[in-house]
Parts: sequence; C-alpha cells; structure tokens
Amino acid sequence: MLNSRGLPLQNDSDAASVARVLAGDMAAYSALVTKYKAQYARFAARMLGNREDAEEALQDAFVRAYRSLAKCDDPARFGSWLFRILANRCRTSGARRGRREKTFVRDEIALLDAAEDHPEERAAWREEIQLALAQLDDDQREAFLLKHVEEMGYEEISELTGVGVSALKMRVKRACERLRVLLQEANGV
Amino acid sequence: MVSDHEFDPFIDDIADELRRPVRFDSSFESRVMASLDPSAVPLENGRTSKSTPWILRPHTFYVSPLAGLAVAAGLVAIITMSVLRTQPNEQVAIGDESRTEVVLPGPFVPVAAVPTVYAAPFTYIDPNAKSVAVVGSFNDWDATANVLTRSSDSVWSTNVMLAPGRHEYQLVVDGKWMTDPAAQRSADSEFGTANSVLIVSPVPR
Repeated sequence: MLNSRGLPLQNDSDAASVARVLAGDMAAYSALVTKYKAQYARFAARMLGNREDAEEALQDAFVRAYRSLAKCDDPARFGSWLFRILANRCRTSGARRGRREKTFVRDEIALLDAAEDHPEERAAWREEIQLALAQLDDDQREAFLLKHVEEMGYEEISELTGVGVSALKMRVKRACERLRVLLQEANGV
Repeated sequence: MVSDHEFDPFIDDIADELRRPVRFDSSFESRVMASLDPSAVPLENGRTSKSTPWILRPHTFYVSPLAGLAVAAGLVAIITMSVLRTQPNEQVAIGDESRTEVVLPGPFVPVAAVPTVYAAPFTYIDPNAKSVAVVGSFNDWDATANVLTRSSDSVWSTNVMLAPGRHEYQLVVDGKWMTDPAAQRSADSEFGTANSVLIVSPVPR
C-alpha cells in the first residue's frame, strides 16, 4: 500500500517560510513549492483528469498564493490555505471544462501516472478507474479524493471546503456507489 | 446515517491506485518561480512592491468600501443618474447545462469615468453573527480582504470593487464558510454547492 498521510494542514515550519518570503526570500517560496507540489499535483490531476489542466491549475494556485501571501492570516496553515485556492481553481476549471464537450483522451491517463513497470491488466484497471472518476460530479469527486485518496478526516475536509460533514459523508457515499457501478459495468460484472 | 469510514476492499483498491504519485514536467517548479517577480515582495495590501499599473489589472484593484462609496457618489453626481441600473432578480441559463445563476439586485456603481470596476453591494442579515466576510474569486478566497460591517442590529454589508463578469463567492460567518442565502448556487447539487454566483453587468452607456 502506498503511503499517504493526508494533506499537511498545519506546520510550524511553514510559518517560518512564509515570514522569510514576506521578507523577500524567494528561495523560501521555492521550498514551499517543492514541499506541496507532489501531493497537490496528484489532487489536481485526479480532479481534472489531465496533466495539462492540472499543471495550469497548480501553477496558478501557487502564483495566487504568492501574490496574496501577506493576507494568509495563519501562516502555519499555509498548506490548507493554498489547498483552498487550488480546490477553487479546480472547481472553476472543472466548470469551464463541463461547458465544453466532455472528452477524455485515453492516452492522458497513462501520462497522469508516474512511469513504472506494471502488468498490462493493472494499467487497464487504472484507466477504468480514472475514466469512472471523471464521470462523477465535481463535488463528489472532490469529496472522494480528499477522504479516500488524501485520507483526510471529515472535519478536516469540512474545514477546507466549507461544506458540512453530513453533506460530505453523503457525497463520499454516493461517489463510492457510483464508482462501484461504473467499474463493475466496465468489467462486465 | 453514513458511517465515518467503512472498510471496503473494492474502494480501498481504487484509492490505492489513485494514490500513486503524479509527476509533472520537471520544469514545473522553475516555471512557477519564473512566473513570480523575484523583486516583488507581497505587501500587506496583497499587491506586490513592483507590480503592473493598476489600470491594467482591474481584478487586483481594491479600495475600502467607504472610499468606494465616496468616489462612486461623486461620479454618479457628475456623470448622470441614468447610468445607474437596478436589475431584478433574474435567472440566467448557462450554456446547455441545467445550472442557473442569479443576478443580484443592483445598483453596481461605476467608480471611474470609463468604468472597469463596480461597487457591488453584499448584504447579510444575521442578528447573532459576530463577524461576516465575503470571499471569492475576486479576492483569492481571503477571509480578511472584504469584511462586512454591521450597519444595524442584524444587517451586515459592504461594497466590493468588481470587474464586470461572473464572480463566485461565499460568505464567512463567524469563521464558517457558507453560500449566500440571497443568491443561488453555482451548481446543482442535492446536498448544497460550493459557491454562490454574482454577475456584475456593465452599465449600458
């Protein structure tokens, strides 16, 4: 099982990094980018379904966060603040994409994942998962990813998204049910 | 009742796959840093010490509500009252989706002779609230940027300088994010949606 410990919501070292950035130390911001890039890249990519949109969304989130850094009222929670910017950016991007014809290029699925050796059937399974995920409503996909992929608690997700815990639980439940149906259909079960 | 977490091997298998790392282009980090101005340090007002002239970036132009009202009132007197338009609540179909958006009651007050931004009023009624702010795409979802002030026992209000267009936002009441009960939501959902939507329409000339 891959290791995942949830999004880092609070980190005292982030407060120090933010203070250094505000003092003009760009290297400190580069360190923050390095720190959050990998995990947030995964979230953005799973949310948006293709790497190009995910890169654009995450880059935009980092730039917006930098420009508004002085207004981050709790620098120790820079990670969650940045995530809120990213999540809203993904929602906006998802809505924009929703107005276009929804197409999902299968080759993109392979591009999303880090290259590694794996059996063909596993690769096919991954494609089916990403295709099923793309068919969920944005709200359900976001809740599912935060709960099951980023392994956050409902209270944390509620804090990040501003959505009530009971509504989040229902979104996750519906997402799980929908994924099960879609993936079982795909596999002829 | 939905339990907090039920172990489900099928779902856990899916989640395991989705937890696999996603690698961006190796130049991603350098592109992010290159898009920042190294000589521009973020200032307390959210702008940077070396920024593009404000007139070229209307979305980053903010003034205090009182200043905005004063400027707006003066210009309204100088230009003409006819540029003010009050719009009734109106639902607008968006594209081919079943989503609706609401145009809040105006007036959106132009704040320049050639208006690029408008003073959009936000009002919230809650006698028990201790603090109210509006966060949105226009202020990077920053709860400190546009704080509503209590104008009576229960009425909270502020004006926010907005460019014409569609703006998503939420209210932050005593630290809790919520959609604006006076506006419709950004997307259909049986359990509530992420944001409220405000359309700022340019005043006809």
